[in-house]
Amino acid sequence: MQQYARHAQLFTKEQFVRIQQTRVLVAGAGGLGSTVLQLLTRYGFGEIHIYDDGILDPPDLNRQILYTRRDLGLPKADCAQKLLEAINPDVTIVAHAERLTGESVVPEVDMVVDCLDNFAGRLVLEALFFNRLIPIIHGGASAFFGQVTTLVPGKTPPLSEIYGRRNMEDMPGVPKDIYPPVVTAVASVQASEAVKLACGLTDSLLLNRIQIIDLLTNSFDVTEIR
Amino acid sequence: MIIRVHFYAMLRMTTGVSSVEVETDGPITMRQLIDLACQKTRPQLKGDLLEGPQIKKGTLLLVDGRNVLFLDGLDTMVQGDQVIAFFPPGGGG
Repeated sequence: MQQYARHAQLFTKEQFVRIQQTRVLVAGAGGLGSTVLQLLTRYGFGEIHIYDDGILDPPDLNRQILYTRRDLGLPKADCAQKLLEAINPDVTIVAHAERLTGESVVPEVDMVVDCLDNFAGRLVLEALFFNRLIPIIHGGASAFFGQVTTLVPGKTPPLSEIYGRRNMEDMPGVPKDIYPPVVTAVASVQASEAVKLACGLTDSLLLNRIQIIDLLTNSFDVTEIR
Repeated sequence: MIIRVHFYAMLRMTTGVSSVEVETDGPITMRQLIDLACQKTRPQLKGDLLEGPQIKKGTLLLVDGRNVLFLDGLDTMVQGDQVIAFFPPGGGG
């Protein structure tokens, strides 16, 4: 496939087939989700489910690179689907303009990319997916900083055993100020984790380790977390 | 004994350093470590990490990668051969 000519050779044929068969759910189509969705679509994942109940607002446009001013006031999931289908019609893109809740009936997927902006929502992801043995690639960003870790049932604890469940339930919202490049950087690491997870490159994943990206001092640290 | 504390994200910005070393005669509690780290950096660090007697919600105080919430909280004993890391909450999307 000509569209994949610049990256397909980086992996074995079998690994690339695995990517094309992988079904991903991306929770949140905001800052992180915009970049994750674009990269996975361009990469040629098999099926991508977008979950976001948001409407595009003007402040979103500084970092949510899937959208334009024409999309203001429209549901993000639907706008994202339209653009992603234009980027790569070979990928099945399914838009769910809804918020994931404990009662959501969710599609069968192989992995979830956590692009949410709150920890209460992340507990929902844990119940819906991690507890059903589906890996979650966690990402978060605030100000000039961000973090990524990959949570694989049986190999790592869930996020609630890192942060503490009660803390996640009542964690205060993070400040809205955000440096747009750090969002893209965090999302790029998440997308890379998704590719490696799909290919079975387990040894190079961020398992029991958290990558901390600091674009103020240009430091990229990895530290143990368990 | 030297105990090194690593700061990440906003804590690196507010303290102006990526880590600090404190010298002790032996193992100390996490609560004592925070006090010593404040003396070496800025008094406000305590308020960045704690809310009264509790660890601020979402703040990670890690000892060898383990959140002290799952150990003995602020009474967790720490020593020089451990990796100590402090993270403020941060998880926007």
